[in-house]
Amino acid sequence: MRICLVAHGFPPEERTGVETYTASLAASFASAGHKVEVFAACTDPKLADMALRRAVVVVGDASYGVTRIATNSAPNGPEEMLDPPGIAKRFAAFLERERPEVVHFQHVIKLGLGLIEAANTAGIPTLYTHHDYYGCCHRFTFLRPDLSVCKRPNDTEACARCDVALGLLNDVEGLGDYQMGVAPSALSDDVRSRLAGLLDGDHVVEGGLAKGELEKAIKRRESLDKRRTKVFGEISERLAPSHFLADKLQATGMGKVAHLVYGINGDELLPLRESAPVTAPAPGKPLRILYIGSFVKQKGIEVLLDAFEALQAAPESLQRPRAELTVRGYASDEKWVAKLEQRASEVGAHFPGGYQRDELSGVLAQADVVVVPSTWFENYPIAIREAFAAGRPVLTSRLGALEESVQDGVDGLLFEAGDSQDLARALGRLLDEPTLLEKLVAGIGKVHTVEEQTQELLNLYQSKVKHLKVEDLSASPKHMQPFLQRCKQLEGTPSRELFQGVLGDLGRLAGKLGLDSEDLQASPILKGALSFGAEVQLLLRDFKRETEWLRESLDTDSTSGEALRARLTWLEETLGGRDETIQALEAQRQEQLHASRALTEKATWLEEGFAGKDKEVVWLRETVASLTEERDLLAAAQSDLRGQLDSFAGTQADLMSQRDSLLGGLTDLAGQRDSLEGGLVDIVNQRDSLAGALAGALADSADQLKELLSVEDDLAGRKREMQALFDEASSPLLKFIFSRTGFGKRVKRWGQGDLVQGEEESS
Amino acid sequence: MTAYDPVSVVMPALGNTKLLDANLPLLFAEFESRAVGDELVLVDDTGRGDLEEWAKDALADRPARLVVRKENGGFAAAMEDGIRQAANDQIFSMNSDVKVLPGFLKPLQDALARPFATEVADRVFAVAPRVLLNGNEGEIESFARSQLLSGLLTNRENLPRDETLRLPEDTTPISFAIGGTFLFRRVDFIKLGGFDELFAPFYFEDNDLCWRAWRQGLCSLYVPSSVVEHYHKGTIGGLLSPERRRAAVERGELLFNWKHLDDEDLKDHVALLYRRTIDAWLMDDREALIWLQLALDSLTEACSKRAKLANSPSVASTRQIQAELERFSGR
Repeated sequence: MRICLVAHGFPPEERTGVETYTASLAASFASAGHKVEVFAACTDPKLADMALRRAVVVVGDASYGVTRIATNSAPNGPEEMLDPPGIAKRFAAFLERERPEVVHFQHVIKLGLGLIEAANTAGIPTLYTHHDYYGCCHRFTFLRPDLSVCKRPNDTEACARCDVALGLLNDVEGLGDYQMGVAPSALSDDVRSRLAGLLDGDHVVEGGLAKGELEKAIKRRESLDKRRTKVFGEISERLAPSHFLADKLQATGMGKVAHLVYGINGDELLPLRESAPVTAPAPGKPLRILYIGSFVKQKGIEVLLDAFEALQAAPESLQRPRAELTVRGYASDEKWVAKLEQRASEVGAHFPGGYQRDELSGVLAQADVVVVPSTWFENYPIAIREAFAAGRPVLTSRLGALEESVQDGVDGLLFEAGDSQDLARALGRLLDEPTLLEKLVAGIGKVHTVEEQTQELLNLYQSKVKHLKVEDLSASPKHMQPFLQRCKQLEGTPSRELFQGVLGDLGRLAGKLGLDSEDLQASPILKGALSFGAEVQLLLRDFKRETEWLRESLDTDSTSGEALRARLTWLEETLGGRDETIQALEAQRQEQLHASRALTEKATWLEEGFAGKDKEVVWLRETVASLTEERDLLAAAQSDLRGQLDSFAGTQADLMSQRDSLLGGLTDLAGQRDSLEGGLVDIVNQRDSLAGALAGALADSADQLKELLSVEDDLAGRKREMQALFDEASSPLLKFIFSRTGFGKRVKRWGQGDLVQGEEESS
Repeated sequence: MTAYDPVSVVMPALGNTKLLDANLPLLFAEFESRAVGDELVLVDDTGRGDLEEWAKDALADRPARLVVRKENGGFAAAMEDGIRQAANDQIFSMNSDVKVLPGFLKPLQDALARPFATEVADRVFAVAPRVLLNGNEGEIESFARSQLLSGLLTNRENLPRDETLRLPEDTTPISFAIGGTFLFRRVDFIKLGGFDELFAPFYFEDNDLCWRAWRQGLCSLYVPSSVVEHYHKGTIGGLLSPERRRAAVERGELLFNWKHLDDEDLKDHVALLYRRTIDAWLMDDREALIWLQLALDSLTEACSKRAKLANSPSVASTRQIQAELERFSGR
């Protein structure tokens, strides 16, 4: 099939999602044997506006063409944003030359809706894959100029307010690329307040708008939106890779939007699952976090940088494995990128800049997890598919179509859009939960490949072509049919192929007529001559276009003077540049002549000095030998250093292990301390209990003492009585009795107080 | 009064009966006035016998026959079928959209009968009347002049009105007699091998036939005293878009050149074709590339026909014929 793909940019100049996707589709179709021509916008200050340049991209054994149209001038207002003047006409001529059977639009921003109409007018089936919200939001992001998410889709007044608010930013100096919007914090108080007034104020006059201007903007927006919906409605097949986007588009009334997911080129990425698998974070091994994609403001890169800072500042970070963040991508807004780079430096993130498509697998191999922190609805970020293809889980915002891309807890984690703390928490989980990362890796499903999508799209293309009304040749007289059939076939052949076919056959004709070799087309001279022809063709087209433009400009009264002057300046500069080039070339030629003479002289001189060089060669050989020795020494030293490094790494691991062991001991000691503290409490309780018992015992003893004292008093009375008795009975009989019974001794001892009550001395 | 031979008018038709109803009565009137046994051989080239029903009434009691072709074959094939069926030796080839004027046959027969000596031919093969395009006196279709320029033998077209009005009043040699209206002898036609199918489906078969005749010493003449009108309706030209009609003409012209150019002009011719190709490529002129390719599709056949012609005896080269034609046209 002859397939035309249309995009607003193309690699290598533009390397973000849609452009890269378009390139992979083109390569896949071409590799499958289809003829592909890409029509894309480009910015090239060396070319006049709308100049066309075609290049051939070789993909293995196949190739496809890319025609770039220079779109250097910024659109002059919303009307030109939707329909840049002149491009549709060039596209119609391109279609006439290339004769595609189907035109598949990827994006028409910078190119205009007129391209879709041109394809329809040519009777070619059209398809449009919506990669963003261009079909339902003139800002294509649902982001307002203050970077907030639009809450009023399909509300003409809200859209008109965005128009006038952007007009306000047009007048503010030093904002960099503000088309996507500017964070209010980057604006002065006055501008911030006026912007808020224009976007949400009850009276837009707060924003500095003249009376009636909003009404005018609403009317204009209404007309532009109506046109956009009408043109998109006329497309043969509308596609969207996410249900979220399809729903939003259908809400405009443009008609059915079919759901068809992207396929991605996973050839270089799929092997990473085996060769560089993601493993759980471990001591000494950092968690490698990666951002890849464009550096536009709605991608939320600053949210990621804030989250990374929070992750590192968290108290528990000391006990976690380390984390590293790498931010890679592209941008046109240098001011914005400079800010991001500064912020990345502050939080310790790597910021190595962009990368080529063929470097992607290497970039992903150095990552454990990819973060897509977008703050807009997104659609179907290719970065997510590429990460999945490489077996890398994805952390992304819980917003818009992103929730369709990542299953929370299965192949990635979701966090609240714009919430760096929540993102930091999600990243922290990967560090804290040792099995989580591996679980997410295992949860990544099969990735839809570009080859699979190529087949799906081809089926779609063929179904569209099949339904085309074809010229019915059977109604023509039979003898005319072969001729008409051939005419029809040639009319559908691209000009380039016609040209090549005719050239080849002319060679054969010349051969048959006996004039020359039949292989004229293979002649390198002819090929060389024709390659000049291609340049001339481009210049002729430029000339034709310039002439047309001048004629149109002269026919238009308004603005023609100024525009003509601008174009004249451009032409003067270009022609001036050519004169300078000619002069420079002449000067160069003179220089070369001088150089040639000088070289002749030098050759003579060299011959003379040749003998001396032999010695120099010997010296150089010695030097080389010495340097070789030195190199070997350095290599040995390097090897030692590597050994030391390995040893340090071992020591570090040992120290980490010791630290972990000490931390374990500390925990044990704290346990013992707690246990001892418990024992101490028991002892105190026992002490208190014993003190109570002692006090009781003391009280009892006092009572016994009192009782004893009373007994003592009693005994003293008895002693006295006994003494009296003794004194009274001091007769010899008694003495005798007493001495025989020992009673006398007992009474004596009793009297001395040695006798314990109740004890009787045995006789 | 000289007795004139009867003529068979051979007319291929594609089924436009309105055209036939409008134009045939004039032809039959001429037959009637001549009363020499002229006939119409109407060839139904629809391939479906579309004219059979119509002919039952329209041709009843007329000096006419209907030849029905089983398959549509185009002008040349239909003509050859009709010529085969013709009863007379003199054949007038006539398109169905031609309106004859009274007495048109007589001057043609006179011219065909008379010897016309040129440097390269001494007999007459074909004679063409003054064909007024759409009946307009200022637009003569049949004064066919050619020119050899930069290795290309091409028909001169679009004569300015003042030049048209200055056209010769006498019988004059022309490059070819236009196929839609010319008188010739059947025997010569057969000797020349008839129309060359290389030019199928249409255009330049008449140029080729007459040029082959010139090469054999048989000239073609413009006879202004015979007048017909040509309306370009209902014939093949009307069934094609202007772009495809032009493509057929351009293709035919190239094939004609490849057959007839002299060897000494081939280098210029091929160089011109390269130049045309590159110009067409540079200027985004797709149509010119399509014309070239349509002709190149038949290059093998054309070269083979050229070789065959080169091996046949001939009286004059293309350059000689062209020089003679230019001498007569006063250039």
